[in-house]
Amino acid sequence: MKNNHAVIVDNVSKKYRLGELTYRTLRDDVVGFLRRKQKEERSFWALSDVSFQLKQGESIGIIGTNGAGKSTMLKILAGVTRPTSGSVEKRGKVGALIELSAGFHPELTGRENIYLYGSIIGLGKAYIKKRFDEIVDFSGLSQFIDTPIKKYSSGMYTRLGFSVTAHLDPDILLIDEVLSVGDFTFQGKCINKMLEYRKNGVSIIFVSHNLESVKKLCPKVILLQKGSVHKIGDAESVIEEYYRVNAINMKGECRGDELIDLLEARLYSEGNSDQFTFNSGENAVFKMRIRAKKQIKDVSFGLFLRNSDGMIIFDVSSNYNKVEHQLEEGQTIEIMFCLRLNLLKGLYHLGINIFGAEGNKAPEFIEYIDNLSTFMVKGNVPAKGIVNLEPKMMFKIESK
Amino acid sequence: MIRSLLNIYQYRELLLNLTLREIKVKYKQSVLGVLWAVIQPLSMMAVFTFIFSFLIKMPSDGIPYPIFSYTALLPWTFFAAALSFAIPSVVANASLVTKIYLPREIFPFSAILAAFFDFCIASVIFVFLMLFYRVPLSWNVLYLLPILVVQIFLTLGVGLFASALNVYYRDVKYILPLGLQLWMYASPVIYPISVVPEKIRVIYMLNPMSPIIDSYRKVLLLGTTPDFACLGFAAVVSLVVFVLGYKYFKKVEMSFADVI
Repeated sequence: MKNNHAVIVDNVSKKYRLGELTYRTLRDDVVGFLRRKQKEERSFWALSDVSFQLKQGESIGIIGTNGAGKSTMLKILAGVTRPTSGSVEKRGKVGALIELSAGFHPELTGRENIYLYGSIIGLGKAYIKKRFDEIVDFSGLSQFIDTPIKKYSSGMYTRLGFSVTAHLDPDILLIDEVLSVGDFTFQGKCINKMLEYRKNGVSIIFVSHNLESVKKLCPKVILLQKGSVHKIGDAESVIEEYYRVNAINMKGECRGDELIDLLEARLYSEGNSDQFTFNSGENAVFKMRIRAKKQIKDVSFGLFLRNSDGMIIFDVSSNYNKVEHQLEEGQTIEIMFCLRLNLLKGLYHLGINIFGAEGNKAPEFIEYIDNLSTFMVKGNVPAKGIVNLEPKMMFKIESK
Repeated sequence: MIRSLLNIYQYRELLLNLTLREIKVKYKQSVLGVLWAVIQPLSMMAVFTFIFSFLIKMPSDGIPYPIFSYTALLPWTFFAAALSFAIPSVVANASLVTKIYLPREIFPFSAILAAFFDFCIASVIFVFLMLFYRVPLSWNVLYLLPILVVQIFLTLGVGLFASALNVYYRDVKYILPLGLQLWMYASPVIYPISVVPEKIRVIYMLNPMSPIIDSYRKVLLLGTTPDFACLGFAAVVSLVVFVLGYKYFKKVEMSFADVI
């Protein structure tokens, strides 16, 4: 192993047997053996030919959709399972922040669980004793520390778990999606803790869906797609690639309602044939054409945007302006929304809804498409977040 | 294998903590708590005494039947309880097995240690029985230690093998209670070895638990030395079972996480 490497993953592949992933019963095997029938082996490669290296003190993020092989990779790194082929070399003590409450026992108190869990992840009793107050303090659970944890809420569980693991002293730290737990302030604490680890020269492998925190922690990111490495590079470009690859998959489908036909729906801007990338501040048009299959009264059209975390950041509808139409059977209507994309760099999803009443029935949602299209906003506004509030900064140093 | 055992030594604190967890959890929220460790062999003794001393006359080598049976029930309960805890232990800790690397034998080991704790508690009653029946002690009582060691090796071997097998074949879990019951009747727990016909005695002694339990009776109640030939044979069998069981466990250990 080269001197400055903490982890070297070399052509790692992992095969799982499908259908027999679970345990067998003796009968199955005996019968199979007696019949001498070679069962056709249905297998599935969770990872194929994954290679990467992690230098000492470096942080690397692993991203990818569900089923891309992230968890399998972590399991192999943690030594829980072996790769089918290939090799993993690790230098130093590996600590894992993997799903936290696994080692807890509900009947035991918080205090007992801290010691028990500590010893599971390799912290000695003396060490925990020394840092006990610190651990409890970090969890913010000092009031409940002598209560059996079966009375804890799920958030308290994970906080306790993280607080113990956060006092690990590893050379290589594996982190799996832990930031999605706990409330906002606790998440902040966790991020700070990880930044502290990084500062102390711990090598970090971070698996997450939360791309913002990946970006924050890891300058280098690996994108896994269906078990193989799709791209390795700096966080910015790999995350952009992730968006691009998955935008196609995320595109919603029109349900083809019995009341309407969605003939056309697209987002575009003048002089832009690419309907995926827009510039921050650009004027864009969303156009759709709809044909009514039956008479629809009081119909209104809505459009909404979500950011990459799924939060609705903008929602507009013609009925907010009390504009409603009546469509006769077979009639077609064209709707245009002109939007100014005062958005910051990132990925956004566009959805629509159509509200109205069929004939004399009560009004209802005729169509609701959560994810009609996905687009990316590019730009060089030096700010983070969602909206561009067109910041200007002024400084004036006052004389003493 | 030696390396694995040394590795376990590094994890001794975890082993201790997991054992404590087993013990604490077992007796939390129960009124009688640790007394249950005593109640079980004691009530078995009462039942067997009623049946084999009042209803049917079972020879007991001239020893009062209650203490005769308790001397065997004590190690037998340890053996049976240890296996009943150890065999499902790996599967019961699936959430740990699939997430963190620990030497996995730590789960059956801690289960057996927890059963050993119960054994120690239940032994206190034995001391009272000895005093009550005024059984004299001889220096041969020192043989207890090697006998116990032989038994523990046998328990570890069977426990390791079966707990690993249970990951692949859940049948093991169902065979377990039946198997233990049959095994008990095949061992001199409720009857003395002397009632076993000479003709089949050799086959009978192939079961390592037979010489083990017989030895407990010999050194504690009769004050004689154990039958060295038989106990020696049991020791060899136990050691072989332990080595093979451990080897099998370590061999399949790495695929636990994929199968469990």
